[in-house]
Amino acid sequence: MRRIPPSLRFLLMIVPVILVFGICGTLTLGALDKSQTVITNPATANEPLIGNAFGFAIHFLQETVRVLTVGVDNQGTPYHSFLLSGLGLTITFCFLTMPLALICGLVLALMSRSPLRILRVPARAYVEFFRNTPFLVQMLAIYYGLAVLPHDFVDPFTVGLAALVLNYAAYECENLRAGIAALDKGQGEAAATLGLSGWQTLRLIIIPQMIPVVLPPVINDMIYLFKDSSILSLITIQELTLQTQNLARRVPSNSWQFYLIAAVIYLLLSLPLGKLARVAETRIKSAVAAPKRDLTVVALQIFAAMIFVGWVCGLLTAQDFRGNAIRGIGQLFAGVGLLLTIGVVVMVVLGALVYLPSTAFILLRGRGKTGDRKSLVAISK
Amino acid sequence: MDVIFNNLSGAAPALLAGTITTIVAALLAGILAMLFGIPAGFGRLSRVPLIRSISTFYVETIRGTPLLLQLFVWFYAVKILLLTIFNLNVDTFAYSLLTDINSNSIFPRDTGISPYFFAIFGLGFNYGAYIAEVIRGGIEAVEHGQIEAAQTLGLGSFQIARLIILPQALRIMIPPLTNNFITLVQDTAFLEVLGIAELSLVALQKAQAVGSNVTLRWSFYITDLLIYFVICYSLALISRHMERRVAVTVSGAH
Repeated sequence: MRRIPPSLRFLLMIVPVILVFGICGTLTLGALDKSQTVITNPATANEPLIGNAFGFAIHFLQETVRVLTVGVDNQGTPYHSFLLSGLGLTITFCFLTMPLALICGLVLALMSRSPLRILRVPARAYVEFFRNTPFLVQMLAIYYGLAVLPHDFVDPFTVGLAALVLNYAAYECENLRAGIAALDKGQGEAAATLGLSGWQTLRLIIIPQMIPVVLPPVINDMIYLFKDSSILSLITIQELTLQTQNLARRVPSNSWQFYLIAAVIYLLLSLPLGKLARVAETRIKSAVAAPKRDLTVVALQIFAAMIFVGWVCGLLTAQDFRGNAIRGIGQLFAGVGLLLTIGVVVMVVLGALVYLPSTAFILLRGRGKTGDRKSLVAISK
Repeated sequence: MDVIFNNLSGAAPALLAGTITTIVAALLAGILAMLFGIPAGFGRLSRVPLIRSISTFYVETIRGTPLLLQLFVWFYAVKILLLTIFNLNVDTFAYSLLTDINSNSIFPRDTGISPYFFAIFGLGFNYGAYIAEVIRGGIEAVEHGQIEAAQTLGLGSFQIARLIILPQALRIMIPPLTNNFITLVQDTAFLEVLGIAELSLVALQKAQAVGSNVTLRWSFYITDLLIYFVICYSLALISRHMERRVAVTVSGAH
C-alpha cells in the first residue's frame, strides 16, 4: 500500500470531524425544528431523523457557511464578526503570554538551580503553589480580590494577562529546568575556566543548547495555553468562548450550533499546532546542531515578533482599546506591572513562610547533632 | 484577626461540603476517565482500522478543544439533543430512578441532576482522551524487539501482554497518570460554570457575601487556594513516592 501524503491524511482526518459535528448539529437542528414545528429545511423535514445522515451533514455545512459568511443577528451584526473578534483576542492572549511566561520562567528556573537557599526556596515555593492550585481560582481571586485598586490597573485585560503569565511561568520554569538539567555539568566548569562571566555563560552556553530540548514541550504548552485562554471568558474578556455564548444568547434557536462551530474552530487551530510540535521535535534538533546565527538573539526576536503580533491582534479586536494604540500599550505595561507585583509578593510571602521555619529547623538540628552544614545540604535536596 | 476567624469558622461547614463535593466529583470523573481512556488507548494501537480511527477521532477531538467549551456543549447542546430526539429528560429520568431506590432528596429539586451528570460525565470524557494518550505512550515505549523475542520463545499474545508489556508499560504510565489525576482535581473548579456548589464556587460566593472588605475576601480566597494546594500537593508527593517504589520493585522483580 502506498503511503498517503501527510497533507492529504490531515484533510482525511478533518473531513470526518466536520461531518460528525455536522451530523450531531443537524440532528439537533432537525429535532428542534420538529419540536417547534418551524420547518427551515425542507430536505430533512419529512424524513426519518437518523436515516438521512448525509443530508444532515450537508445541511450543517450549509448552515456553517451561512453563519460564517452572510448570517446576521436581529440587530444586523454579522455572526462572523463576533467569532473573528473573539478569535483575535484569543490569539492576542496566546502570543502575549508565551514570551512573557518564558522570560519569567527562565528567571525562576535559574533561581531554583541557584546554590543560595534564599533564592531557591522562594522560587520552588512559587512554582509548587501555582502548579498545584487551579488557574480558574487564581484568576478569579486576582480579579475580585484586587477590585480596590484603580480601575484602569485591574481591568479584565490586565488581570487576564497577569494571571495567565503567572500560571504559565510556573509550568515553563519546569520545562526550562529540565532543559538546563539536560546539559553536561562539565560545560559550566569549562565556561568558568575560560573566564566567562555568569551572564555570558547563560547567553552563549546554556540558552543555545537548551532550545532544542525545550522547544517541543513549549509548543505543547502553547496548545494548552490556546485552550486555557477560554477560561478568561469568566472575567468578561470577549474571547472566542464568551463571544460564542453571546451569540447563543442572541440567537437561542441556533445556540448549540454556535457551540459546535466554536469547537471546530478551536480544533482546526490546535491540530496543526500539534503537528507542528511533532515536526519541530525532529527537524529543529538537526537545524540547531550547527546554528548560523546567535540563538539567544533569534529567540528574543521571536519573542518581540510574538508580542507585536499579539498587540496588533488586540488592537484590531479588543473592545477596550480598539483603534487606540497608546491605550493598548498602556494596558500591556499595566498587565506586566501587575504580574511582576503579584509574582514578587507571592514569592516573598511564600518564601518567608517556607524559608524561615525550614532554616530554623536546620539550625536547631544542626546544632543538636553534628554542628556542620552537611544537614543543611541534605535537607535542601 | 478575630473577625477573619469568626467569618471563616462560620463558613467552615459550607467550605467542607464544597471540598467533599470536589473530591467526590474528582473521584467519579477519574473512574469515568479510566473507563473511557483504557479502551481508547488500546483502540489506538488496534490493527482494525475502524476501531483505530474511532479512538483517534475521540482523542484528537477532545484534546483539541477547551474543557470549558466541552462542558457547554454537553450541557447546552447534548441535553437538548437527548430531550428532543429520544424524548429523554435527564432530570426526570434520574429523579424517577432515584425515587425507585428511595433517595431522591440527594439532589436539589430546582436544578435537578443534569448539571451534576453532564459536568462529571464531560470531565471524565475529557480526561479519558488524555489517559488514552498516556496508555498508548506507555505501551509504545516498550521496545519492539522484546515482543519479537517473546514470540520466538513461543508465548501467546495474552502472555506477552501480561508478562512482557504491562509490567514495563505500567512503570512508564504511573507518573503521567497521577499528573493527570492532579490536573483533574484542579479542573473540577470548572464545574462552577454549571452552578455546582463545589469548593471554588462556595468560596467565591462567601467572598462576595462579605462585601467590599478586602481582608475578609482574601481570607476566603486564600483558604480556597490552600485547600486545593493541600489536596494536589499531597497527591504529588504520593505520586513521587509511588514512582520510587515502582522503580525499585520493577528493577528487583524476577
